[in-house]
Amino acid sequence: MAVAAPGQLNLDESPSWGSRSVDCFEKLEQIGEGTYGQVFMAKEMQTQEIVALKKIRMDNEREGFPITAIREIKILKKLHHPNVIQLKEIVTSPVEGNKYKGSIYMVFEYMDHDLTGLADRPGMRFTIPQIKCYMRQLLMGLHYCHINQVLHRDIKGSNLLIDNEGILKLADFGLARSFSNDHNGHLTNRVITLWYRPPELLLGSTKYGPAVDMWSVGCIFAELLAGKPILPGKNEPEQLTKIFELCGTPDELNWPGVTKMPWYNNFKPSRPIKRRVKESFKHFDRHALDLLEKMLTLDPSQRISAKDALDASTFGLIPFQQILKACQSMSHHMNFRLRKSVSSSDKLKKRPSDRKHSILNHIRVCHQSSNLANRMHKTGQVSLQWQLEAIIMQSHVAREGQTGTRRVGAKVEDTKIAEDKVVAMAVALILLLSKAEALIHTLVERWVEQVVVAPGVGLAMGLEEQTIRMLVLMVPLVRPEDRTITNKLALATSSSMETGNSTPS
Amino acid sequence: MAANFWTSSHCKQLLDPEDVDVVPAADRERGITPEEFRLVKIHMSLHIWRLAQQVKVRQRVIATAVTYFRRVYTRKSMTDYDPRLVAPTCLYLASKVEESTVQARLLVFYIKKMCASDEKYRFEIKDILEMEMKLLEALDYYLVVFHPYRPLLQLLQDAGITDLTQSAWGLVNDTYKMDLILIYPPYMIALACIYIASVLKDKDTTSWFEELRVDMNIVKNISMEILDFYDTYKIDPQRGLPEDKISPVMNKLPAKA
Repeated sequence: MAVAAPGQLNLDESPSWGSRSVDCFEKLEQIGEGTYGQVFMAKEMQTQEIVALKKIRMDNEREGFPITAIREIKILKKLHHPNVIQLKEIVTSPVEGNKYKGSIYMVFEYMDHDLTGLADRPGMRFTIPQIKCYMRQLLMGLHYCHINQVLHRDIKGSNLLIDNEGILKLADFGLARSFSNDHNGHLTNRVITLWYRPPELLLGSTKYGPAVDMWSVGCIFAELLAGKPILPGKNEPEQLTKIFELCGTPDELNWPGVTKMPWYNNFKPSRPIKRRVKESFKHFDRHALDLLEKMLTLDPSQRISAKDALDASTFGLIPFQQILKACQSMSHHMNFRLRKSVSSSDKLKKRPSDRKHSILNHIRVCHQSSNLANRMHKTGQVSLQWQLEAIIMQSHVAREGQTGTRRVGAKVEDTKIAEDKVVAMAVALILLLSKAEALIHTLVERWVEQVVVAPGVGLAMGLEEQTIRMLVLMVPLVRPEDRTITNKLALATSSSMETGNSTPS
Repeated sequence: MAANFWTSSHCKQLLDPEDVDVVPAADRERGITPEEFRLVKIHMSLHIWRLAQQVKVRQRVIATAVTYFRRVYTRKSMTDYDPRLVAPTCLYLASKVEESTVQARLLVFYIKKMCASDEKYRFEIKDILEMEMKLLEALDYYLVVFHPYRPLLQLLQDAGITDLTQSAWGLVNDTYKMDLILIYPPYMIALACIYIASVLKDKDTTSWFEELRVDMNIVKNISMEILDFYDTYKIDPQRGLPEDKISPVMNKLPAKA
């Protein structure tokens, strides 16, 4: 039987099956080291898109495809959130023509920075609004993981990636695991980088939950505010000592059941120490300190959840001027790639110049979000503010995804309308959700009418009869590919406006 | 948000019945008929099940393994992907995904023990590891599978007929001898099993089903398929398909090189 040369067979396998070869990408440079392999910055040759390639080490040949990689793939395939890194595809690198013998690469969207790298800039400290902005995104991503029953188990600065628009994404799910509330199996307590490891793991717990990630979040929050790691233990006993010195010693009163923890007796504190989180960080913003106290709670069952932390008022108002300043100071550094994990001397490589513009977008989004937030605050709707900002933030990201590799920043004029629209829809949605009719008069009249896209506003005011339509309008934000719905709705809305169906209530 | 079935890859990958029962071209050329194709899948599902009994894994792992196995053959031929190797590899991969890892060498040991008489079923560790990579690709790395077991328990609880648990659970197990898991949402399969179990045990569940507001036509279709299956095959769970029925079919497939 004759053998056809590769590519000459007339067997058009559906492109969705079978993974591509890593040869579709041009490796640019190594940018880091993951839990189980190297990470490269690479360019997709066809689309020129910059991506990150994470090589899966296949050295443990006795058990084939590493279970850690299986966990990460399984988890990443089910998580789709603006603040969680997106796994784009998996590619193989054939060895001697056999594609099943070589390495495997996971292809991720490329992110310019990580939090540790940004925080390490000499002489630079994050401002409060910047910290809030990152913390909120971290909490949003983490809350999403937790409601999807995923524990990250390695929250730390170098796993929080940030792009030039200031969007933060949770990455490196190499230690992550699914959990279920009825899970009776035991989990390993040898997870989470020591400085961010919670007391229950250090005390040997093998049944734990989302609270472990929240402790790490607390450590990062404090680290950002303080400008340096707060609990840099050298080994496990020292880590616990440091925790006790800051958060006090645990006892049956502040942590029921602690004395029955597996390793409690090994680490039993010799004398009780008073909790001094407030004293240690008394220069922190009051709201921030309140929240930090709740995150650094010894008893995991009393520790604040991601959702409650999001709702905490600390994340409320961000004055626009401050955000603007924060963004400007960020943009100054955005022209450099600053990933902590790179050890080579080419650490400060110049970025392509088009990236400079992108920061404008971030400012714009933050502007709208805070502008709106200000207004909502004035009308006494503080609790809604945050939902609103979340929507704006997400829609911004959704739009980014829609344009693929093209950075919207280069064409600020184009995006103006879209963003106004987003804001209008966000306002409308919030009003619908809250049924805060009093708001319509104070807020909508004065401000939203200025918004370019009238249909969105019309809907907002139509409230009752327009509820469903408005909610459908949100669909393209969540699923940008559903353009047709937007178009149809735009038509439907404009016609209903003409016939006067949506008179303001 | 794919902790629920509706947004999962499993849901998006549900297939039409017509797309499941297609014999791949390469197998057709070897003279495999649709009926024989089905027989091999039943035979190998039982093989997975028996192997799983040896290495002692949870029911869930078996169910996931069989689902992988059936999914593979909606895209690949048995000529290119030897089912005798694909089956244990599915179990191997499923055990990792479901967090109850079985060592490859253990699996190989039990295969040798179980299939002492038939050389064609015996494989080495390296065969399994290489097939694992092929499977991952054939499955497009979508590894999370939802099963009817959890909804089954919830639904039985809701209907207040937990005394039917055992028979309904057994019915669910048997549905993996068919391709139902590739076609229908797991809770519909669970409902069909409850439906059959309640008829068998003379429980009146009519009003409960009415209140559910599910498409009873689908539930009845699934139930009919299950009953048809029992009628057609009458499988002995311990001995599997009769040798004279399955051997000629397996012989049409190329043995390992």
